[in-house]
Amino acid sequence: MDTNHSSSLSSSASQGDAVFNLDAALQRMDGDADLLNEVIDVFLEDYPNSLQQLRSSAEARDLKLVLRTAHTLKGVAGNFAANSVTEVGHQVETLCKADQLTEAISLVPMLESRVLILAEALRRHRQKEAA
Amino acid sequence: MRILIAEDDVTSRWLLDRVLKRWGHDIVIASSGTEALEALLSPESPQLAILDWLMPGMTGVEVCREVRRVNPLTSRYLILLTSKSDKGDVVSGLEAGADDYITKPFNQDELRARIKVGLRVIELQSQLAERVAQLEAAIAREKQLQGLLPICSYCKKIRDDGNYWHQVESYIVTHADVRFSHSVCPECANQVRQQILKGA
Repeated sequence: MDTNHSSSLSSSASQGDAVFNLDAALQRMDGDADLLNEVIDVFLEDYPNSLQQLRSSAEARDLKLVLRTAHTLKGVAGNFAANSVTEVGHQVETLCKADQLTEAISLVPMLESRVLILAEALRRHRQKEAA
Repeated sequence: MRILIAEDDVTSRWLLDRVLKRWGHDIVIASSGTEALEALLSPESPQLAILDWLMPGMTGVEVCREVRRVNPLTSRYLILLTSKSDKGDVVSGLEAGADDYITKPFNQDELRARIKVGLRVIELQSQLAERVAQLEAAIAREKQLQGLLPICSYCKKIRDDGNYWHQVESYIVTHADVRFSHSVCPECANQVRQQILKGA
């Protein structure tokens, strides 16, 4: 089931528009585009720390920290309706909760690359807004 | 109203802080479960708190449990933040002492409505606490008039704890929520009239 699920995820993540859902994100900000832009800026500044924590917790095989970091990334991506990230984040979380650390860690690179793709898409959105 | 936000993720915390301040609330920030617990157990603790589920130190659920264990009688309205997929955890959160939960990513209208519910509950609880305090004070006053009072068989003065003798009126006035209006009963009025007539 994992293979099917992952392939559908990666195809949706590769489509520019599917990385995050602008309408849904705006709705979450009560239609306030400025607020959304500010949230994006805070995220763009902070996400490298989360990724760093994700990598180091995976290297240290620290189950609790992998779980928490994946949970955090899932949560923050939810603000942008970025399903590509929330889905993998959720998978990592679920595997950690089931004590399947090795399987969870095997998904960490995918989670990381999804976050990078999201960050890039958000950065482009901000540039477009500024222009 | 002062509200505690306990959330370790910088972005989500920033957003909550921003939105709640916009609605006119004062915000206290905690970025770990331990910080949240410390804030909630301090004398100037906010009465309403929004607690993230997974935080360093302690989880939001553990914070709820600890707050209820240490301060079972103080009113703290605790809202847990959970993600949509963790609905199964909601039961354990509520059992641990949370009053409500909200799923992330939160919808602003829903958040505002849930905070309103919290404020209403806090208001009701504080009114109730005030009533209880008033009733307790009344009962305490009442108790002072219960039990055995030493009274003089002749002049009807009452002896207090300090061995002083008081007129019945002044004793009751100081020990109960009563005042006297002085008057004369028909029997005494008659006696007094007779005395006056005799003397005349």
